[in-house]
Amino acid sequence: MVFINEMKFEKVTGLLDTEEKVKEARTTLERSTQTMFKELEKAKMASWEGAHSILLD
Amino acid sequence: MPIVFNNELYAFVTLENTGDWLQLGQICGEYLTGPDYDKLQKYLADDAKTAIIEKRYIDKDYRDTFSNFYSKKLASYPASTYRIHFFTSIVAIADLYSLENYSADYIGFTVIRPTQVNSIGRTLFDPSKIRKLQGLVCRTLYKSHLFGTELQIYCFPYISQDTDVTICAHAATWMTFRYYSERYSAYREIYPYEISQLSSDVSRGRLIPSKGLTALQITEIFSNFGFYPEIYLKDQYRDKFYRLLYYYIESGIPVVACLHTKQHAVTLLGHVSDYQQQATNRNSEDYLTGYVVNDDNYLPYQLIMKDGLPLQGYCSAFHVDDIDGFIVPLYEKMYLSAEHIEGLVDSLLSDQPFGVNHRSALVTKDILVKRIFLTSSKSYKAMRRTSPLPFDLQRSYIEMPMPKFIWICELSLAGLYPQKQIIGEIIFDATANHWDRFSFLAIHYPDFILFNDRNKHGNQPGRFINFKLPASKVMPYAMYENNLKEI
Repeated sequence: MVFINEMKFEKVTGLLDTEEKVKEARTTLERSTQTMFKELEKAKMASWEGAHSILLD
Repeated sequence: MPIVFNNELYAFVTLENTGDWLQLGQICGEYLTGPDYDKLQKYLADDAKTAIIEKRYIDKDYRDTFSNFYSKKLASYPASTYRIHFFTSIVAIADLYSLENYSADYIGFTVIRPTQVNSIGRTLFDPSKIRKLQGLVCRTLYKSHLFGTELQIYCFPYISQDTDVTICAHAATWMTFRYYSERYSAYREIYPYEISQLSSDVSRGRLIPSKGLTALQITEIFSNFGFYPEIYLKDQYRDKFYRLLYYYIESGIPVVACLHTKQHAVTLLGHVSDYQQQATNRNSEDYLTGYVVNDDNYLPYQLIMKDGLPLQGYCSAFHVDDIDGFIVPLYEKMYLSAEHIEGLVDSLLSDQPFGVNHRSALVTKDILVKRIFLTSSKSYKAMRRTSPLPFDLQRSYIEMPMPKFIWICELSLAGLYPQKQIIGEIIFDATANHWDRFSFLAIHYPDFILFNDRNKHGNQPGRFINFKLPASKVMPYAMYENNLKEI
């Protein structure tokens, strides 16, 4: 990504500057959200199933 | 005092006392049912000073149900309706042909159907002209024409069920559809009978007279109209349910809410909040006191309050706790849902290397108040162009390639939120897959900014650009406020 106006701020040294570090960041996010996302998947499926029995007049 | 022109097409009533309202009731008596007259009189008595009645108005929504249903009955139903226009001032008879002089006083109109039951049809009332109404709501501009004058109404549409072709759930979906079709050219205008026929795939038996709809049928109606709806049930999403509902309303997306135990459906179109309350969960939903709803059994812009809070203004007997499901009509390219954003935000703010405690020396995660919402990148960029960020970071946001819709989590502090100020934000690509944990476009804390190039795949380090910002203290700026408009 290239910006028209180059940002003249100091870069954070050593942050996400190698493939290993990026991979580790991704893995950390995956681990911390995995259980929750699986539960959300179940909630979504159950909501679609349950919606059939909710009668509104 | 009523003035009836030729006793035929129009009537004009100044509403200065109860007697005037009774005369309005008599003029419309053939069509306006007693309970509906009472509702209108109580709703508008403090604000309406003039009513002008069109006595042979061809209403597109009633004509649709008339042609497809009422014309097939033995009893003869008129093909036209009455339409009543209300003004907050006394209109001089001499000014009838120059009503533009009263455009600031125009409340809007209500169509009175000759259906014998539930006579209030399409209704467009500007909530800012009715003093007892309050809240932040979805509104858009409608036009009406009277005596050759174009009048504008900035409102959310309302209709009541007719109990023949439409029931409460149809009315709730009609209100959502009519809002979208008026606001966005991508959605076509659709009428009540047509809506009743959109649920044929998962329906058993006849569709009219309607015997009620299931939440699944409402979803089908949304899908067949052109939305990409999601269903949320309280039993399934438990403690997340009310926050998710709030995120969608804060996004300016009206939802159909199910009150299953009451066998009722309403349209949620806004909220009321009290910013003097404590944000105990560090979430903007903590400030919420209630929702603004269109319940077809009443008139528009009612409040449904949170349980235990005092009733105020034009209030419903229902409580927020009565809402046990909702259906949200999403646009095609809104692939990421609110629940995934909430989960990702929490992890991003906590985990290495993106977490606020790791990247900022000025704020910590435990003091941040989060505000999650969806908006169009077009509106966001337009707002940020005139409402800048520290260090002119808005220029980078304006330049950044963004999808049509973005999820945003604004970060504020308890002391700043009531002043509608924030200190950072995380922006997400709403077209991303929820299993893609790098779905964010930017992370901004007071002294740190990171951009994620969504066109770079895999774990290439070049996908991230990050900077330390030279801030020695938090520099608040305006929160985004384009989704809902204050009444």
